[in-house]
Amino acid sequence: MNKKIFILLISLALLGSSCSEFLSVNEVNPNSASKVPAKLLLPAAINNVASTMNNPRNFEFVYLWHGLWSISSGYSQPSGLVQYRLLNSSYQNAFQLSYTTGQNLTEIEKGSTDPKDAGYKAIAMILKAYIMHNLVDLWGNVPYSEAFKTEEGILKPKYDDQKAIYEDLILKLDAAIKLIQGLPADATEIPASADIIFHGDMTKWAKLANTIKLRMLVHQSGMAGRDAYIKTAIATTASVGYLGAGESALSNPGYLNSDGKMNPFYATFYKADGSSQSDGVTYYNAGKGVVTFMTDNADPRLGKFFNPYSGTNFAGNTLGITEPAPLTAANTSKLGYVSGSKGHMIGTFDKSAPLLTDFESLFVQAEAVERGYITGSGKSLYNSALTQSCLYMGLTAAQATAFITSEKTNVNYDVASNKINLILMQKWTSLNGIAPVEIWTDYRRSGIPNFLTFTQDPNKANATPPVRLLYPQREISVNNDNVVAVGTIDAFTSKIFWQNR
Amino acid sequence: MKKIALLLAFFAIGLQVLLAQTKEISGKVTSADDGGSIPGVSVSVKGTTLGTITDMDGMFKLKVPQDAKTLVFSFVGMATQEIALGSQTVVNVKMASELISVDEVVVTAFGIKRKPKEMGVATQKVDNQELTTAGVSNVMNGLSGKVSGLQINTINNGVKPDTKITLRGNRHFLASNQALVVLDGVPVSATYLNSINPNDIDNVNVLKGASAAALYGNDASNGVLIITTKKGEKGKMTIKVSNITTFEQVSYLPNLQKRFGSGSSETTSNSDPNYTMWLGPDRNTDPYTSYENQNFGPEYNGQMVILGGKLVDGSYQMVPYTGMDNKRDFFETGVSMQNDISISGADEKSNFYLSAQDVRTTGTILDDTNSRSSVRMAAGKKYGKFSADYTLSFSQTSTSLSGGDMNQDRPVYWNVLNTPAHVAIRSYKDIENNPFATVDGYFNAYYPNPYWQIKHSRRNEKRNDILGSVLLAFKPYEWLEISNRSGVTFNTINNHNYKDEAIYNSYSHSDPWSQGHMGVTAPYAGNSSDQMRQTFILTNDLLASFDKSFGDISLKGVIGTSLYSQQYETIFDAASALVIPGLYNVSNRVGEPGVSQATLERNSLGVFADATVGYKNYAYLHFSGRNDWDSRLTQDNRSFFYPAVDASVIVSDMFPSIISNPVLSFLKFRGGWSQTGQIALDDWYGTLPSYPAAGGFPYGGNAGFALSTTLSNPLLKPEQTVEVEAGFEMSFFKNRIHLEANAYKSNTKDQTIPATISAATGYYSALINAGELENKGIEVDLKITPILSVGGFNWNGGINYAYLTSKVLSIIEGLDEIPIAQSSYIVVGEQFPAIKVTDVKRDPEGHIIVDKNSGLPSTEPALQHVGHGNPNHILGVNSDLNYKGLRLSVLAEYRGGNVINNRVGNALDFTGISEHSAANGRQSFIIPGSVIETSPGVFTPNTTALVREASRQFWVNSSYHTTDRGLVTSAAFWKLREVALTYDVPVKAIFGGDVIKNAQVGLVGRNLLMFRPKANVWTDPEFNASGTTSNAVGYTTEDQTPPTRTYGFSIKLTF
Repeated sequence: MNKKIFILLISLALLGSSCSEFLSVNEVNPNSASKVPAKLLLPAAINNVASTMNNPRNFEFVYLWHGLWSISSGYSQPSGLVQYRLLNSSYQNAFQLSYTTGQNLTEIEKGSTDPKDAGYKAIAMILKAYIMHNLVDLWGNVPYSEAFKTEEGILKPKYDDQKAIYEDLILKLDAAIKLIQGLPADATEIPASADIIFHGDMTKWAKLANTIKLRMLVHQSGMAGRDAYIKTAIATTASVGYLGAGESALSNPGYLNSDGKMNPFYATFYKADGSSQSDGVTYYNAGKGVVTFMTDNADPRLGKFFNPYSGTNFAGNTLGITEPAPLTAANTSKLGYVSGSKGHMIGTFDKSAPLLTDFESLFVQAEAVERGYITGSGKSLYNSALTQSCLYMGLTAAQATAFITSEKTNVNYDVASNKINLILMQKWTSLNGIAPVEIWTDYRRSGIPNFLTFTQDPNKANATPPVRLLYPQREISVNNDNVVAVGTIDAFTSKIFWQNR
Repeated sequence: MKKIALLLAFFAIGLQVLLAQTKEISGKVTSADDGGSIPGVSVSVKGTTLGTITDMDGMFKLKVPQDAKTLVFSFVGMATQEIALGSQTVVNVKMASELISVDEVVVTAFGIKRKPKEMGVATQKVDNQELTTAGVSNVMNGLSGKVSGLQINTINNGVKPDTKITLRGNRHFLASNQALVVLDGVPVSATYLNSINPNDIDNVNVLKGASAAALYGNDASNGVLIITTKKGEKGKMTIKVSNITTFEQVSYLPNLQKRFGSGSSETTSNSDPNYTMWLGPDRNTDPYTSYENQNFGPEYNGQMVILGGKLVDGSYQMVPYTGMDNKRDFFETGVSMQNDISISGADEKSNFYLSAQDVRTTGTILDDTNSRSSVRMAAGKKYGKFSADYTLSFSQTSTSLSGGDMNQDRPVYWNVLNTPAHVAIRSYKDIENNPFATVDGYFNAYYPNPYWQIKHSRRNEKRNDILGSVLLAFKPYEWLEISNRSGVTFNTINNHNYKDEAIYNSYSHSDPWSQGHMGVTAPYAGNSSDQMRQTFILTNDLLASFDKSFGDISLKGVIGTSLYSQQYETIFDAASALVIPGLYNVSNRVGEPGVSQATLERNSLGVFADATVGYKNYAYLHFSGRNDWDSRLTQDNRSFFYPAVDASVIVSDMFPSIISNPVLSFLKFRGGWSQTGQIALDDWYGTLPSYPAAGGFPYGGNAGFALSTTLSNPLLKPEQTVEVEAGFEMSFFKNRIHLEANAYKSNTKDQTIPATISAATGYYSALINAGELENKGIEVDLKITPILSVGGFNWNGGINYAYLTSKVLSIIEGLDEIPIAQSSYIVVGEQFPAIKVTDVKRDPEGHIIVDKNSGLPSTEPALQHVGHGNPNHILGVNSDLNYKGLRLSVLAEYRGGNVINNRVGNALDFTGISEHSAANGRQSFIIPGSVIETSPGVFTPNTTALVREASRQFWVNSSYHTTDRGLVTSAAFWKLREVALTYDVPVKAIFGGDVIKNAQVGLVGRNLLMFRPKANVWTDPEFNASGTTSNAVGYTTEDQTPPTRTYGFSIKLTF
């Protein structure tokens, strides 16, 4: 009995002494880090932005609604897409992915208070501006001033006025440029493994910031009485310059030929073993509008954007067409693909993913010149843009030159009567599969190209495509008051603030 | 296994023969109440399994050993009597009806034994016989319908059915609602119930409410199942051998059409007319397409048509264009063989029990198998004031199931549904030799031969469970006992899944009909993955218990400590592209492997005290308190106290005058209050921020990390459940009718919600403590034991009924809805989970609004609330009829009040095989009851707007198809859960009873019939697509194969 009690007491004492240790096993997570430096957050954030923007599933509606792609007649034509019936659940991915990436960028920004780390801070600010203006272009009013503020207890961020967001982003880009210009001599070097776009070249980041800014200001060119604001805003950072030929913002974390580690555009269509993704390769076909336009222009890029369905024949379908019957899959061009060719639209597993290409920058600059916002030669900027597009699609400089000097009215700068119309039509063809949000924005603000044939589905909800996306279902469920405060949203009439049509 | 059983049997026979010195005892059993004879009374020799039952006239004859000392007479509802045997050979007995089995004890938390009359809260015991009536191989199935408030949901059938077990409904929004399972004092995971041999179980005591279970503190809120396994019984060594063989067949299929064959928009002009052609005069359908999976083609007319395409050698199939019952043909008859042996024995000082079981099951889908082998040992020994008991069990379960197909990873059932009715699906079973069953030769251009995936895509699992416990007790005084129980459970689960490569020939690859043949995207690389999981749980409970009376006051108490430590580890690897066919190893691949690893550990300590104070054996007050410290929460938040109190008053003992009342013989009131908790963290490190490797990373030498999309919260605390209950028990007519009723209310607040939050916060979800769910319910148990001797028949029956309802009182301030799965939502003010679905636009009266030109409805953007997923009413009815050793037991169960979203209907409409898709003969029609909006807000009945094409366009593309409202029905059902007809073979008369003491043969059946509302033409509403761990009940998909019925026979022998 006594012995037993003794043993009992001993074990209780042992238990007591090891108690705090016994109960502290969950204070360090053996499975995942609880703090990570900026240089390891940045590559993931950049890669997330690139994956979001380059996943064709997120923006297929742009290509399908604007004559660039069609859905193979071998598939059921999804009614929402073909009949313009957007739901709150349609195309929510970009909204959600952008904000979670934004949170990581905010972490980088907040963790870079040391002036030496201003480079990280500037990059985070520039990428956030890139994300946020895309969100405005897609959804108009979105959470901004109260976004990323869980530490202040904000779980239901209010929706800010879209124009005010745009204006604030312009200031943020100015500030980012200023940070880069004022980087101390002993600034923390940003390794190439962290900056998977410019590999630490901060001058290019400043140019990217300035190009994003110019693009945002040009978006507003159709607004009445906005010119003074646009010109003043451009002037403050005009000396920084813009992304020029060969200065594309392309992201590449080191894509591998392995499922889940490939270029996101390519991964939608092909797998690591070279077999195709079902519902990828055979699902999307060429759009009739762009095939006709490029064929008329004898555009050498046609065979890069699309594959001939036989010999040298190209054809596309009009969305929703039933009468006459749509072309069969065998008689329609598929998206451009030749195994191992980076120039074709689908590209390769290791092709860099574009955030903003040099030719897009050049088209924007050309338009800005034509609108009198910046000085320069519209013609040379336009020709340079087309040349860079040809090179990007794997053509030679000679082929590019031959193309820009052809006498076609929709190609040759001198022959074209309406330069802005020309710039935006060629921008439409050039950005196919590359910059869907910009294609949509350009069409909505300008109505160019003006020859598009919209869906032919007899049950379409509207004659012309929606002008915006509907707020995600998740927002309606969990942030409803703020969504409601925006007012009634109609996919066909609730325009983005810069839309003048 | 069988050989060993035989050997042991021979051994036992030899032993029995040696000892067989017997004498015969006879006598008559009569009723002390009315003097009438009582048939069916069990007469046995104490300490042995020798026995018989009285015949119609109450007479019995029994051969007993010369040294037999005591005869035991027992009968349901009557007091058991023991008669000492001297030299007499005639024993006549008068039996009195029993008020209540006062001497029986129930095992409650931590093995504390309490008398039923002391209990202030509801508990219910299910003994082995009840549990195994219908020859179940799974404990959970054996409990279904037998205890009020206990809900066992078989959420999918198959060789190892997934089951979910809840007591008094769902208290938690997202955290587990599965009851805590304690096996011989050791907490085990609910999944372990699949690994237990039901025949080893002596009884299951169900502590329904949190009150009875509060002593388990942090894990108690969902109620507890206390499982006590068998021990050796005093007497000679007993050997039991049994075999149960059952057969499983698909019982109900969705209503399917057999009128129209394959076709889906392919036109004869663009495709090869050999494969796409018009049949008959009907031009309202699509043309017949020989390779199509969808069924929007012409009406069947019996003519010979080509099926599929030509093979490379030019051969092709011609089949009659006639609909058949091919879906049912596809399913096999599953067979389950269960063999058991147990050996047990005991004397005054020691006991032992040894058992082994082997279960082999094949499924209704070809090649699906499950097998389980288990052994169990239990023994104990007493040395004066010390005693030691131990148990050790091991089981191994191997399961092999078909996996997804190579193209879209669809389940077998989907590919069966996508087989038109004129295709004799069973003739494509031989995928090796039948040229029309190969990947290239199979007719279907879009979905593969389901037999391909049965053969080439497998999901295998092997699970090992070891469970051991040691109980040491020291009893220095009659009133004091100190005991320590240590338990160890260790299990490993190894999953090995693979899919073979599928290469199509160049013909298929070239898209022969220009219609997107699935061979175009081939080759489909083979893949394989492995996951190893291992869990180690150590528990130790040290208890001091005392039991002493002071005059009229009795005091019973326990103080103790409880330690719990759990370690979990998992390793996963996957190869997404295998190279050498048939070698399923991660090294056999191209590209990067998918790998992951996780280690989890958690510890907790509890100290507790429990006391019951009794007054004059008719009034009891019980209280318990426990303090828990749990490592999963941060230091400031990890200590919690959980109190409980309950009381009972036996009015009939307090006022004995009531007893003399001829109607009311027993009356007890009771009530209880408790507070329990549950720490609901899937990730035990959830209070820390976490930065897992970002998607895709590392890319070779580039690493990248991103913040978890769930916002962590260091302030998390356990969910708190406060439960109150009150009830009464009463017996009438000398206990022939026993009625028990309870009402309870539980409120669970501070729910841990990985609340979906606005993505604009930067996170998808945040872990917070918020929200409150209220459950209310009533449970009624009625047992009837009329002593009927009409022609020797005995009958008793019972009804158990539970009404339960829930209400979400709050979620998070300002938030009144959270989605948790497909169509399940948490909605403030509604029952949980609310079912919300997409719908077409309707007028205020609910009529479908259609377009005046197209006749088609359009989609309503807002989701519609259509009901809730958990039943409000659960009713179990059982009947037990005995006639001279012939026993018929029947158990039926009803559930209702909830709705089900039959998403499988979406798949059936898509493929055009659903019966209602053919109801209009694929002709233009007006949607019944539809209206047209003539001006805003003005609706007039639609008499003119026909759906232009009531075929593919409507069933595949219209809002009618893409919305779910039309698939929602009442989830009510009646099921004939169990029917068992057993016969106790009079072995004594045949074999003299020397070798075989008892023999029973039986026919058993489970789920023989199901009755559903007419509107539910789809599947079993008990199924649930969201899995065993999700609370998002309320929808089914093609991932659940059709419901089945099981029937078979059993043989049980006792030596």
